[in-house]
Amino acid sequence: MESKIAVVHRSEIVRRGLVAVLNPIWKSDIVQSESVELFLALGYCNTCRSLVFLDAEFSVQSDKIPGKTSLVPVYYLPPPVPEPEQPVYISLMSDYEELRKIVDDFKSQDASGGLNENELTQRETEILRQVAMGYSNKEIADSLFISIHTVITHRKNITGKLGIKSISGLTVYAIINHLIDPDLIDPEKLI
Amino acid sequence: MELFTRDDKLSTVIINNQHLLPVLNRFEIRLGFGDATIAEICSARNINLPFFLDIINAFHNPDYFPEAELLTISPTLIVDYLQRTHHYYLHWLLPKIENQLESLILSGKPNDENLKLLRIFFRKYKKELLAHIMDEEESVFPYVLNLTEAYETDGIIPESIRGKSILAYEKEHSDVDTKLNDLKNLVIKFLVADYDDNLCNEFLITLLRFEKDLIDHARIEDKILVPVVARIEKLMHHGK
Repeated sequence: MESKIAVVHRSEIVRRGLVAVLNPIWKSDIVQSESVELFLALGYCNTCRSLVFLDAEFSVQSDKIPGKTSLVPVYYLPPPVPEPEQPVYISLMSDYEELRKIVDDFKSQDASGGLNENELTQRETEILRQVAMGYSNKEIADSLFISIHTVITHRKNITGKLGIKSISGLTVYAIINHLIDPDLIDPEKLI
Repeated sequence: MELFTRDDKLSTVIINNQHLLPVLNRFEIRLGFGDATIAEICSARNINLPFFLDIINAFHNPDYFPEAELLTISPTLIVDYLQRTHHYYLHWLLPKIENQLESLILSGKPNDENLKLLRIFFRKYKKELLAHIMDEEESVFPYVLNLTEAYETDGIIPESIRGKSILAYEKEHSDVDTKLNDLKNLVIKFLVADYDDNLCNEFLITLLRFEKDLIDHARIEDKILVPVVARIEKLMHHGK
């Protein structure tokens, strides 16, 4: 299963700062978002294991973030008494070692199995399903509340993973894999 | 990768690269040529030697680019070769693939939906390929032949093709190639069905051969036909 780290914080300085500190210990891309809504729409990966550094002010919205996500609240100053259920947190006073420990723990929990690198994520599967049904990028973007650009990026990734590029080919793939119900469509027309 | 030269034996060429067999037939060369060299065979059969070498080398070596002097080859020869290739596809390879696909489908359970999808997909692909071939036969090749005739006679571009250019005609091969590649990947990676393995292998082997031949065919169009015709266009527009 793919692992991802995200920084969701109102302050651009905090976001950039955290990413700069995380970069040497986390080689992959780090998602940055200024709000939980934007993160869920653009950066969230449904099938990934995620570590999210979350603006402590957003804690009330944390239940909106589903899936296998570890949340690390980011306080400006260390809270006087750490909340009992939330033992892991950072503040702007945290040092590099604290961050590294959190990332190392996250890495070591990386369970093997799950998605291999060419398996589609849930989001990709949903987009593939819509492509196979004949929807345009614009229609897909509107139905999932994401940008056309994001749809195109997903489509590129889908094609890269499957080795199938044409819409007809993707439709065949979707039917073979029961992503769409062939009884609801006319394969002669869609393929 | 090595290049074939005039003094290579044609038998060695074929043993080296079996995919050149249909290419020989497009030049009306038949097997049983003993130890004759390429030059000898071309001379005996009145085949343009530089062009023949150009074609087999372009086929053999993906990075091959013809020498500048070879750009003086008459487009008529190239079009003739490309038309023979089309004929080979339409009357031999495509029907063969289609027959093998039908055998493959028949070897599975009756009403296997997945196998039937392959048939639908293949027919769609075939339709697009035919449209592509027809476009070349009915638009591109006549244009090239008209232009060449004008170039070789009075040098005046006929009204009917004035303002046209081979670069505008140069159609994307990519769409058609994409579907063939998709078909290959669907069968190899994703199709799960009860079918006869040997029939499926036969189908795939033909498909892969076709894919390779098409890529080479496109390369001959892009690297030989287009530059040759573009050169003539340039010469004509600037006065012979």
